[in-house]
Amino acid sequence: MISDLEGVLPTRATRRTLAASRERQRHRHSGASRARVVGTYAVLILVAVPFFFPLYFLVTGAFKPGRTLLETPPTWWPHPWTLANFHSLAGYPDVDLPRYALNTLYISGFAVVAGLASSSLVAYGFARIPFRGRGVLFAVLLATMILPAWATLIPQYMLYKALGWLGTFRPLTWPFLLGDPFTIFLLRQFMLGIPRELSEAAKIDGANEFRIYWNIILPMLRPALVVAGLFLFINSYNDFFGPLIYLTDSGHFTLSLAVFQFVQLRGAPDIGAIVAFTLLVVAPLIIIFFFAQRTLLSGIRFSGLKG
Amino acid sequence: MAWDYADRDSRSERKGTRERLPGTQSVAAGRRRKAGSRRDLRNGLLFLSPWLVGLVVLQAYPFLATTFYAFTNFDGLNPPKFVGLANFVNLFTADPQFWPSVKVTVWWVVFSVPLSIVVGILLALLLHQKVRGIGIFRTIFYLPAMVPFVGGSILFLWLFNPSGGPINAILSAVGIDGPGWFIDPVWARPTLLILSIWQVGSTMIIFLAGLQDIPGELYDAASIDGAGRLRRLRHVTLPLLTPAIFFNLVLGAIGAFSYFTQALVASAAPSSLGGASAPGGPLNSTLFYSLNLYTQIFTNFQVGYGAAMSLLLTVVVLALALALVRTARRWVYYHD
Repeated sequence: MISDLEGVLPTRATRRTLAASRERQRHRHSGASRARVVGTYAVLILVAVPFFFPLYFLVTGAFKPGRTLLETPPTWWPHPWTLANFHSLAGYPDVDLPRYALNTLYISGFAVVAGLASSSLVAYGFARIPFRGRGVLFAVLLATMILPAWATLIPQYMLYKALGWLGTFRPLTWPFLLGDPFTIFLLRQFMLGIPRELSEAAKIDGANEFRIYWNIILPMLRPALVVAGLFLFINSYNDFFGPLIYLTDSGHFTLSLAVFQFVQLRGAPDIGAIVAFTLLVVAPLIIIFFFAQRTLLSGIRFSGLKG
Repeated sequence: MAWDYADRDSRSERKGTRERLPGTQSVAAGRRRKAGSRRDLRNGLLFLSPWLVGLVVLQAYPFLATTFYAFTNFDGLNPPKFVGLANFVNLFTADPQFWPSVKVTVWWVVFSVPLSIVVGILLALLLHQKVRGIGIFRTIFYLPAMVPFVGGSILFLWLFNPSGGPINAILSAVGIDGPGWFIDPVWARPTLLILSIWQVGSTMIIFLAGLQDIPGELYDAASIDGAGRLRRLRHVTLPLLTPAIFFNLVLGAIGAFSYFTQALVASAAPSSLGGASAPGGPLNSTLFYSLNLYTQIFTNFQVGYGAAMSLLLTVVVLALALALVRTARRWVYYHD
């Protein structure tokens, strides 16, 4: 009875099993293709080892006794597992981990919220309002994406200096209020795909552009906002150059800047704390990746091909 | 690519208005249309206003100011004085750091960009195999790309530390006497190259997406015509990947010219940690253009001089981007 139903309504699952069994049949018939599968796995595993090894060594290394980290032969597995490296890291008087984490979270969080709000407005203008000169302005937007940061850096720095912003978070956060070119671009591409009829109907009902943006486009934009928000977070978390030139006192340091400073001031005896610190800097993005892998990879696809 | 879509999009819209306009409409309708387009203009600029402000304040004005500073002796404090081409003459003829940093950067662009495209394509081809559990491998290959640049650089300092790091331990176990990596002027850049290949994930994903978009019928047709695996790769896969190659080439080249973070982190670290104890070291072998520029501005306070270097870099990058877009017509193949 159930199989009858499945025959009428091939669900995605049954279609997949059907395809899989067809595949299996094909494989069973030829020994050559089985050899090919084995060969494929062999190459995959061989290539995977160097890609996997550094992160494996980092994650396990943080829990090995510190003195074994620069020893030959290397210790391959923590024995015993220990938190000593993290304790020793927290014991440095010039290291304030919660502070760095909060600073980083504040900057990245600001980038996400402000970047999405401003960029979605601008993207709406580019995607849904047919005004004269739009094409030219969009070309300008693309050009600014190609422009190296150095082209504008010195005067920007002088400007922030004149405003008294050096040493504060503002040079790293406030610019996001003015839209982020890549985010604008991504959201515009997505908005172009939303059927025009939806907004036309609302327009006839007397809705103005902002209401259409707010009530119709924004709710449909949710998946794109998630992708763009992830990109904003990752890029701002990853940013090193901005914090390096704009943040002056260690109370404002981000994680990346703090670990850089830490490594510069230490040596081989501190390797345990260095490895623990590195893991703490790397872990948040790795964890985000495991939760948002699908969204992120589809986002890279979208930005790479449609863009 | 996107700019094509943009062009096509606005062109068709404009044509649309033109078709509707002539003669058949009443004067009142025409007036209404004019009012409509004026309202569109006002609304459009209103929605764009955050970005327009940013464009003027954070892009256009600073770019013009950089261009101006490039011809002055600005030191960041005293009012800039016009010095003509002195900065550029200095750069080309007197500065002992300039040409070495240009060489290091050109080396980097020439090696890192093609290498990451080739490795990206090879990994994508590998991940395109239809075997069970391929998702796990995709995760493994992509994961390093999520590692923040500073974290990745410190991790590599440790792994490649010639005194006690695991890489040289592994090499010596198979009878190879490993080099000094970041400490050795010959090996410092190749080690950075290894680091950048380790983080090739995003490039790889874009190629993988390109592969998945190639219709299967094309391969079937090629097979019927008697094309073997290599010929299908050469005549079907690669031509259809050219848009992705172009995208990665342009973005990769632009990024490579501004390569900075990993070079600074790896070279500035103390030698007991496997670094060179000198930004740009050892022996200027990792003195990338951006690193040199950063030192001129923020250590030596040569702001006018730095502006000249910035302007030079900008002109080179824009010229290269333009040249690549120009050649694209000849070798980038759009399937639809």
